[in-house]
Amino acid sequence: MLSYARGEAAAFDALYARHKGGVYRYLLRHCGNAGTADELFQDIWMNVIRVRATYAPSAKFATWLYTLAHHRIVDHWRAQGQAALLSIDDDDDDAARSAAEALPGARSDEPEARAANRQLGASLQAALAALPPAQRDAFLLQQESGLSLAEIATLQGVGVETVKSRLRYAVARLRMELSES
Amino acid sequence: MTDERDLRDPALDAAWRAQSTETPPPALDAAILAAAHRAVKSAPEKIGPGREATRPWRWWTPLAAAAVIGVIAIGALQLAPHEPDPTKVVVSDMPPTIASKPETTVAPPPPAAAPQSTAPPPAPRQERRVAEAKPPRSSDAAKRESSAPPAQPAPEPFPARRDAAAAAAPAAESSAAGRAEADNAMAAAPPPRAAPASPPASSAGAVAPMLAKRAMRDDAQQRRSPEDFVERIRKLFTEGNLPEAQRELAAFRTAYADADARLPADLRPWAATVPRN
Repeated sequence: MLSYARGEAAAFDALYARHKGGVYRYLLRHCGNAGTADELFQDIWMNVIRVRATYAPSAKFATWLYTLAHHRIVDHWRAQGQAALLSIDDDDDDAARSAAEALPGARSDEPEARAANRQLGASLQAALAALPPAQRDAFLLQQESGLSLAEIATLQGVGVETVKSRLRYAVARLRMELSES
Repeated sequence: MTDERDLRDPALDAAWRAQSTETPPPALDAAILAAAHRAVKSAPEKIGPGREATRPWRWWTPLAAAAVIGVIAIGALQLAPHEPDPTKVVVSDMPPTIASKPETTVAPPPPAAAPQSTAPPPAPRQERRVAEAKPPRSSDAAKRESSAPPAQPAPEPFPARRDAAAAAAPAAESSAAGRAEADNAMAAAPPPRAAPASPPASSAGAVAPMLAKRAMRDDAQQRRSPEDFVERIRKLFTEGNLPEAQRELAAFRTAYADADARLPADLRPWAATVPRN
């Protein structure tokens, strides 16, 4: 990123090639809509381009990039009027379940998705969408970004033990869904 | 304390990886990359030292201009047509037809000229040679001078040509030993630039130094005045060294055809007894 800030366009190409898939899937799994994911994805990378001159490497670039993505998805939910429901720091299981059901693409409002649950991928995605946002966010960060527990904790603004708890719960739910399918 | 590996299920990870193949659309990729490149290229470029150095009219510009003008002036002077130096004394023992050519007036300095330049020949002899060399020139030159406009002050020669003329004077004197012997003598020294056809030094071998010495001796003998010969002969004759006196007389006869007539009366009877070669 520092090379790109100095004017090396090829450095941006390398960064983009390395992180575009993870960031895109992180957004897509969160919002469940490809069009929205495209819009958020473009916003995040344009933000990277815009703030290149003031970028200060206080952490890994991936941590900084997924922090941008995390904030952007929260802003998106707030803009959609779901901010109260979609606090990803909320670990209340009932509230999280309600929020998951409110997400577009969740199994409750997509019968065809439920019909395709025989397929593994659809089952996983449905199970992920059913997770509370905080647990889903922790799981997605772990799977897509490659960040460590400490980095995820820093990104989410919680302790490491909280992240572990969220991950343990998310993995158990997804494993159960995987075994059922 | 739960390790990070305990929070992972290999089967779940594998299934997730198998399903996580979505990527952004190519059009979105292209748009983002284009925006990134545009942002970098449109940024104002910093002016560094290298760019500063390419500014015109730096301190070295007048210096460079003066150097270029100087080089051009020197080149023009070197390429200017060289006018013959009327003040230069042409000394040559070459036949009249050759000596009358202006191109042959400056002979390349052979190595034999070096020792002679340290001991300049007597002035009367040089004047005589000039007198000998000038008549053939005057036949053509007189016609040109008669039709030429009134005498004008001769142009001042270039310093380089003046030096060349000064260097050519002793060189021309040394050519009196004859063209062939002079060429042989030149073989012992590096050939001058104006004589590319001179034989290489290696072809002369060990004979070259001997020929050079002989040429020097003959040249010195020819440059002796009659008075010198007469004085030398008289001295040898008085000392009773008749063989040496005879050799000296032979040399006198070789140098001067009227040697016997130039002898004093007291030596003529003895000279009449010395056979000619």
